[in-house]
Amino acid sequence: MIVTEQKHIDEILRYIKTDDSVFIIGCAQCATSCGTGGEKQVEELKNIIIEKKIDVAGQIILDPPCDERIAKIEFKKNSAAVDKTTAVIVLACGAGVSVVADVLPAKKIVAGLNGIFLGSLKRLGVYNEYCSLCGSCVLSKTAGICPVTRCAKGLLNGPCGGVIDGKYCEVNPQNDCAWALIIKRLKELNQTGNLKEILKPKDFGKYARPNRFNKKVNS
Amino acid sequence: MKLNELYKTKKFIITAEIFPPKGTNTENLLKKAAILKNHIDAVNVTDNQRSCMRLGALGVSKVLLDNGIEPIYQITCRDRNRLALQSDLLTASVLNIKNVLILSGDHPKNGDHPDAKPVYDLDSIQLIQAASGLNNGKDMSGNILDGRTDFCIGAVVNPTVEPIELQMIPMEKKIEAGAKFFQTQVAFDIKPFENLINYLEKNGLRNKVKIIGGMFLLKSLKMIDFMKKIPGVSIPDAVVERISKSDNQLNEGIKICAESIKTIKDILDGVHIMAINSEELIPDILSKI
Repeated sequence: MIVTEQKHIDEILRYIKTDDSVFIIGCAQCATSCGTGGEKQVEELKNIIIEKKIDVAGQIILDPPCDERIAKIEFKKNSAAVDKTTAVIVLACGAGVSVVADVLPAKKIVAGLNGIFLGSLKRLGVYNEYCSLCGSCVLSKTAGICPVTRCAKGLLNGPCGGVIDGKYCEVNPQNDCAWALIIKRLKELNQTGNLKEILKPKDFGKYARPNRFNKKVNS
Repeated sequence: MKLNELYKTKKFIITAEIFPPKGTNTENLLKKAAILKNHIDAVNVTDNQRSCMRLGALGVSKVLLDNGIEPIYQITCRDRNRLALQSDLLTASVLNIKNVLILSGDHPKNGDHPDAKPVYDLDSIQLIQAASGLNNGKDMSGNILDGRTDFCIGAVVNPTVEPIELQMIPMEKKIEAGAKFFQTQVAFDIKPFENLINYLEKNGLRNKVKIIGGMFLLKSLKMIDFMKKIPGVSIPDAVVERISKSDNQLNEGIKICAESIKTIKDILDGVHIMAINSEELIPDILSKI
């Protein structure tokens, strides 16, 4: 799940001119779950734009906008509205915005959301960041708790000296110290041997951006 | 001189620390350095401490060296990637800096540039390994250096953290990675130091490293309130009470600091005195030991 937040309306409107014809795209998956780019939010944005006396050519919820095939099919179905459009506002993460930009190269693109992190769902509307997609997973060594993500400094070899009450992170005391959790769980699992190993620095070269995955080539 | 060489002739060493200025004016720094010169063995030069941007630790270390003071160059993992860190260590070596203290570094979020990207490409243990590698003539990629470094590598430990294993796990790794001395977070009573030493003795590590205990000059009740907000610092109620009841809080603070040094003198290998912005009082503290 990609967690997103809505940009302030003023930031969105800064890119829209009064003579623009706007097409609004929502996301049926992650942004709907986050309540940032679902039907309700698309509708709300449409009403704001209409209030500003700017033309809205159409709206659509793509399932999902980060799938180029879906985007192409749906834009074809809505070609009358799309043709008329001069500006597309996308309420999706950057992956969705980028696909729309690829598929509609002649249209002005406006990102309506900020993508924040890869979220694990705790309960409806509550997400935690547990994984940074770092490319070399260490979770087998750290009892399933990621120090790269859940330690504010991403320390791979144990906690810093600032752990509060043996439990909380000095950077944000509302967060648990990831290493306190790791050590506790490894003890419970009789895996404290894992704590002796000095983990090597991450290989950031192996997964240098931009990444590409091709199942045929990669498998 | 490298601290491990100094220990051949001295049993107990005294270090202090100097904060590089916010700007380019080194006048104050040199004044303090001149006062400390004949009273202490080495001075730590902090690296953008508390994540506040200041004059660089490498440059200030060199300035101190030129003024006859042995620097302990502090280098954190917060601001530079592995290329920059190794490169700075080579530079330090060429500048004749002999002692480095390696830390992860406070997170930028609580500093004066909270928007900065935290680097932490390496953690402190990995950087200690890298520095050991440079001492052995190789960089992190295994390339042979034309001229190796010869550092005495130090690290930090916080003996006040409970449970103590939260600090012993990384401390043991730091020793394995090549740390020869440890400067500790401040503690205001002997108990945390005893626990640390007992742990090291029990695990056969005591003779592998020198332990330099962190001492702090509490100057006022106001300062105590400030210190309580600093990560990893805890001040016992008895100390707070002594300062708050005193007519002369600064004098009481000096007394407490001197008493602490006397108490731990027999079990540690040195003390590191932090007298934030009052380094000129350190000779006074030392005269009361």
